[in-house]
Amino acid sequence: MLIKLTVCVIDIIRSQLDTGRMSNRDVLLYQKIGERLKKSRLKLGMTQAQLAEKIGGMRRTSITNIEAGRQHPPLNVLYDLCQILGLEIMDVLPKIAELQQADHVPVKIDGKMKKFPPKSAKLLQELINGEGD
Amino acid sequence: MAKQKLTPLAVAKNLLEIYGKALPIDVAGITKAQGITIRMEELEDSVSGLLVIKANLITVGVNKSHHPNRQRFTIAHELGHFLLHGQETKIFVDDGPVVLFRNLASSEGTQRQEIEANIFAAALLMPEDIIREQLALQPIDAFDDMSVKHLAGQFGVSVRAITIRLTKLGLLDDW
Repeated sequence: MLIKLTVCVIDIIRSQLDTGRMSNRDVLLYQKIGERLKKSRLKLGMTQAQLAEKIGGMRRTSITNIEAGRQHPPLNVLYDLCQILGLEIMDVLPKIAELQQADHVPVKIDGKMKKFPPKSAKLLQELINGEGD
Repeated sequence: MAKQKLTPLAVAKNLLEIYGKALPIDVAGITKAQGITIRMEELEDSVSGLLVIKANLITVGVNKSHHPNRQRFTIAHELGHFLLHGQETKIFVDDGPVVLFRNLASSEGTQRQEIEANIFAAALLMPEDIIREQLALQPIDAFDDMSVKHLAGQFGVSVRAITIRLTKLGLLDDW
């Protein structure tokens, strides 16, 4: 029973992830990749339609969405895009540090500083330091 | 070794015995009855809720923008943290509060605690015996969206949550 439930719960977590509830980090990741692809395409004077055609079997709207970070291309597609745009794969992948949220706020918990998104950090601060014993 | 800790299932079962199993389970009422303050707050979308234990002041913050069904799961999850881990985590704490953060994407925090809190939440919101009772009254046609939706509504959980629960309990065929 416990094992069954555990599996069930893991599935719930997975399904929530699958339904597109992404972390801010992941949102930022795909936005940055998209921005870089778009920049390179524009440099080459290529339209979205032309790029879609070169990659074969892809719709223009997919390019639009990838560039906006809304669609998440599999690694092989990313390689294809880079190849067509004359890029190295590393050129489109942001560094981990770039993805660390600049807006995150440190909160002291158990003597250690941990970073949280601003609204949550504010509530945490209030609950940790606020009145009451 | 210290005495065996209660499992998430046993803790959920105890609560249901005390507070009853009327549907939908009054998760907010049960939580408040444990001396916990629930606060509906504007939080980042990636954050479902949080639990801060500060001496006698225990607060669960819930993301007010999320769907009510999700909020119910969040409250149950945080209640699970409090009941299952509030004690053990305090050991590591001196004066400061214990903070557990519900963030699906977070790799921080211990995986075990997250899983246990979720097991607890599922067992509290969707007790197995009540599910079986409901099914006896209204057999479910897995191909009928409306009947699954109706059942989910009775428990105050998402269609996806009840579907997974039914499947894992072996009450729906897993194709």
